[in-house]
Amino acid sequence: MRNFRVLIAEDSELNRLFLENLITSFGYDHEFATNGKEAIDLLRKEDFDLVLMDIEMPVLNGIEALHVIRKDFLPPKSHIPIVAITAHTSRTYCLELLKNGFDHYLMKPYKKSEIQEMLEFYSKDTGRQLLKGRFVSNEAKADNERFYDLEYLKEIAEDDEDFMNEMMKIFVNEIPSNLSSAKKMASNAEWVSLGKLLHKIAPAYAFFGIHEIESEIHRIEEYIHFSKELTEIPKYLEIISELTQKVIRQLKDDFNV
Amino acid sequence: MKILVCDDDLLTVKAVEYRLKKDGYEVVTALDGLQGAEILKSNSNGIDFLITDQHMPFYSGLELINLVRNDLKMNIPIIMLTRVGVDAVRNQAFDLGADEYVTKPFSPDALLFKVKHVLMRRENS
Repeated sequence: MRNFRVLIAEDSELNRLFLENLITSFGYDHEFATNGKEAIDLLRKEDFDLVLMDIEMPVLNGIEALHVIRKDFLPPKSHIPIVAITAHTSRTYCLELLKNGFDHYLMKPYKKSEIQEMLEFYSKDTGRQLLKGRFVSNEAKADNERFYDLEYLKEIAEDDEDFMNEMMKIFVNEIPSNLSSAKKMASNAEWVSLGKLLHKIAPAYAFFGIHEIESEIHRIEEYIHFSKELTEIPKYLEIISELTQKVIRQLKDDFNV
Repeated sequence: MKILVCDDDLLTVKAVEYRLKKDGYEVVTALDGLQGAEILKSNSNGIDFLITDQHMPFYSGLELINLVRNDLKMNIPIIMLTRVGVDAVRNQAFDLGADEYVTKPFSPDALLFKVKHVLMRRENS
């Protein structure tokens, strides 16, 4: 059995049987809910990696259940991928589902290949796993230990060294000037611009697996969003800046960038 | 299939370009909204697909979608890149005519999955 749990919210017994058969044959673990309320209760109690949510269900329908998960749950549970299942086939209807906050949709009748592809994708989605902190280690680092982790980049590049080098060069050349702009913005209290700039550079840290900095960026973004602790921001920018310098030195030493 | 990728983060653009090209797509890139708009406006570029971030210098992603749908009247598929939890931007993107959204940080595979999904849906409708 793969280490990936699917919560299936579906009121029709026939569909449940079909999905159970299919999902088990692909090797994924699953649990059933027969309406939106049951799905919410189960998700509160247990951990899942994906929710497959029928729209038309009694007690609480799929859209209502989605809103509860997205608004009342705390991260990372509130960010769980939720895939809608619908018998509607119009494009406008499906777009409405995405607009509500579903990550994806599948139309009935079910297509085996489409479900398989979708599950394969979400079980391997590194971007999502980054959010869940799959690669995060909280252990203190020794002096010679690396502050970066190229696992994610290697996964993208499939060990294509030219591409990896190009990415490293961009990181080393671009990030320092962005950080000095960020510091200027903080000293001029240009919070909105600072938020935008941090949003722009955050993926760079994700690519290089520098999770300490990612969480510092999220902290600053949160302070800006709620307009709190603004005076603390320069201090955190300084931490980001120092750590970035260390990473750049390490990348230069290790790869001759 | 020629895809325009518009984002002011060079690393994101490079990673996306790399992954899409590996899958056989032709990729054109723009590092700000103005550059993106100019590429879209010029007929000779023949863009078939737009992937755009929201926050960019000169034009935002929403402004680009508006340009594509309302000024240029192009019916090409559009994927909007957003941050988790920024529901207002996502909703405006759909109101303006986006086909899909992907939240950052995303893996290039995630984006590819959505590109294929959008194309399949368009083919079937």
